[in-house]
Amino acid sequence: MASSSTNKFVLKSNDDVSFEVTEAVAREFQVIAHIIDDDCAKKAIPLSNVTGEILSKMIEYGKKHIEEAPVDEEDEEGKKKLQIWDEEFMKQFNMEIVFQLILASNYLNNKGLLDLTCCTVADHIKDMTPDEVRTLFNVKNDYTTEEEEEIRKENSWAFE
Amino acid sequence: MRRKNHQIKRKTLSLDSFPRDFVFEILRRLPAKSVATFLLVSKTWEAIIRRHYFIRAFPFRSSPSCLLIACNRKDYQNECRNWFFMSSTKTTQTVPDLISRTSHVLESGFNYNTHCYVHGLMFSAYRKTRVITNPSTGKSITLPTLISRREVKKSFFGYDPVHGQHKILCISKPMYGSGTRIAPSDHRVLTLGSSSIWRNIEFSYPHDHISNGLCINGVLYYFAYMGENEMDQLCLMTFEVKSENLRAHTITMPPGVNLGWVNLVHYMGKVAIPMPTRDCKFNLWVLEDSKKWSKICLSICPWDSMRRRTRVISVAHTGEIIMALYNKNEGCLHVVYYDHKKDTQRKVEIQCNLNNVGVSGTPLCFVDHIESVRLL
Repeated sequence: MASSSTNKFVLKSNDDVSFEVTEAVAREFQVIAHIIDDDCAKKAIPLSNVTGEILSKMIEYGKKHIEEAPVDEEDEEGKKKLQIWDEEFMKQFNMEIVFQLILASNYLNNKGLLDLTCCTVADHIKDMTPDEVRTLFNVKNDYTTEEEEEIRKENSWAFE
Repeated sequence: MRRKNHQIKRKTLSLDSFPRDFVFEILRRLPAKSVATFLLVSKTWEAIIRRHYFIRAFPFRSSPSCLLIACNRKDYQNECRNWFFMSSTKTTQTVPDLISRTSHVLESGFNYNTHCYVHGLMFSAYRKTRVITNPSTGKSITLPTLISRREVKKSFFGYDPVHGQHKILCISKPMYGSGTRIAPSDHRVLTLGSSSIWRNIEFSYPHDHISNGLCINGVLYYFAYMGENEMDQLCLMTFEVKSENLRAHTITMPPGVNLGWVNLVHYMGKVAIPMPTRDCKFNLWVLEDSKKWSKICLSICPWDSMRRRTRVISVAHTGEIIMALYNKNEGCLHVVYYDHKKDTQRKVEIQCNLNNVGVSGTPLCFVDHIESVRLL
């Protein structure tokens, strides 16, 4: 088998956008790695749950994490550099895109991106009121006034 | 997740299309305070947060070594002991962050009490009352009273990381039966949150503890004397929190260690005993296996003149040895983080006397504090 830096694979989004990537980048996504290992990657790999817009961002993330991967566990500087890039990378997205990235990174199984996107949402909602969170996640408040009061009373420390 | 992406491409997402698993993943990356606030979002969110699986998985983010400082003050008028909890990361900060406050009811005419901390919770044992406190929330619960024929000698607190359970082990006071033989003891265990029953454990050998309890990776360690007629055999006791298996291993102490009482500290997954030396320094005796001790000489005397009151508290997960000294007059806790491999130290002064309320006794310090969402 040719080395993973020269092998190329084509990933196709659900809205028919194709991306040619190196094997190393493709293997950043566990699901695609399995498809390659099963020798089912001769033609373009169709990804029915991911749009071209999202897939292009995921490939950008995958590429960066291949190119700038820390040398080893001790490479604190390398880790820090990548962490700063991650933070900048996430700043360009609104929450709608972040939610889609969460679903897509779960679907393609990339733990790093799943963690990064979940952390981004957590940082975004950290200081929100329950009502603001309901709006963002489109969740209906199904508590009665009494039940709500009860929880507020029990956890008054958090609502101070 | 099986749905096509275009179906969820709206301004907002509903819980149907944004699976619970991800709400779970997002929630465990939040501070405990936000989690408590979001109990109010909906009943589904509340159910996720209150699940044992979530409590066990929280918190997700690893944080730098955080010191928990627990101070208390007796309030005789209201017959209670007021606790306040503060946290400090190892910067040079002098005023720690106040996390929470709570009160424990005082038992009349009784002063002796012990407190220990494991995996986000503090356990307090007074004479008959045993209380669990979550310093992240300031909530506490009183455990069911232990009714036994034997008097409880000592309570230990442990955590089983496999099932995510905190347990309390109470050992009873050795009693002489007929003749000179010591009667079998009655040692009990309680699992926090699952039932209110103090269960008997199989091990019934009487023993007398001579150290604090130390829980490392699901095993609780303490030293004790054992024996059928005379309590003269020194043993290392191990209590596997998950299986509730208590065992005694005969052991010899390293030279120079006081056999009356030893203070156990955690050193990189091992049991260690700090010993002050004549030249104002410390030796740290580390138990390599159940028999062999190794010695680490700490070439540091952070506070020369006050060394007698210096305590080695523990060793952070970063490998730094943490020593503390409380200056009562200043209401100030002096903490040194010492890296014995690089021979470097960092000093932090923490003002504990918040609003000049006064503190009873020395503040307690617990290393590697993590937030817990138990008892919400």
